[in-house]
Amino acid sequence: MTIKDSQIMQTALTKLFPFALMFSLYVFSYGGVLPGGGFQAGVVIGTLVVIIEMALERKLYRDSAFERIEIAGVALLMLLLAAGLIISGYPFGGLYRFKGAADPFANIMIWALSFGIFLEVAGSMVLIFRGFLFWESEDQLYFIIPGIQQKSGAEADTIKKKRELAGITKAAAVLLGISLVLVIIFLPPLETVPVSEAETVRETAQAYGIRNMVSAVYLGPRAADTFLEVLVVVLTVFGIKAVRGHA
Amino acid sequence: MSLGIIIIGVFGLVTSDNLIKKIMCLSVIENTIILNFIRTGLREGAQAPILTSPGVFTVDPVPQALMLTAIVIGVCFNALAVACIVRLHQKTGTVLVSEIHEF
Repeated sequence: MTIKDSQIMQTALTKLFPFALMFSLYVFSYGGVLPGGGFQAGVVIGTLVVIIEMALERKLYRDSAFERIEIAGVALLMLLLAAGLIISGYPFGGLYRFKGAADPFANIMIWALSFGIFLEVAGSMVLIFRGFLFWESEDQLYFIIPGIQQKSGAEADTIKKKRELAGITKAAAVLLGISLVLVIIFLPPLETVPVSEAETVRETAQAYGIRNMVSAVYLGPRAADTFLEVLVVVLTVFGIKAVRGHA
Repeated sequence: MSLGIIIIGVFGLVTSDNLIKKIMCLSVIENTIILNFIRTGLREGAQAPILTSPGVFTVDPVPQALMLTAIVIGVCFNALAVACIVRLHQKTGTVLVSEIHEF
């Protein structure tokens, strides 16, 4: 029996859909004030689409729709990058380089950045999961369970070669472990981040009315990192498509 | 503590034959590193980095923001690795390293 046959699952999922959608939008729009933000909202909405597709066993929208969502998110982020560079001279406007507490540009910027990340992550999540969900027919899924793999005839010399290789690998791993332990023993203890850095973040966050300091960091001083990370997500989607090939 | 978890991950990475299990061990190591980084921002008696009132004593938000990025990168890495393993399984019919003879 699959999820499709279960009346309870079907009803629950279809009734849950609007509430989960609302929760996602709430997490997204309050990202600057409460825990949450573009990433989290995007993941919630992406997994929601995936769960419903698994329950109904059919695609809700075409792949191209989610590709368009993803590309729109990346385009919005690129636009914001360029706009910030032109207006203030810093990528994404720097968010904290402006003078004055009530600058509307910074508030619009943090919302638009979140929205771009939201679109991009939501599209990517669905595409990544679809890469696995609609891979092949269901009888090919047994590989997940270890121990049911197909056995094939093995020649003695290849096994011997593999054993030698495994011995080398184990020796290398032991050496690596010993060096790791030595490094950890003889290295000075981890330095804690100076308090002044956190204080700066707190001051700037307070100046702009951003209460969630984590959002303030990853959309402000580390915005370039966030942008590159979004590009990594896009690359993953393309990579999975490339690996999948014509299967 | 985190050193112990890392050792568990490395041990599993070396000894397991199944590629899926290897990926799981890599995830364990990665999550340990994330925990360790978040620990560096920890301060005694501090609250979550949400400014509910001015002057509230919070933990350091910078490692948390960095690790948020690291978590997303980890998801991407896992997805790509598992996709590669699925392709390998299609090609060779096995996910055990000891049974893969040709590519």
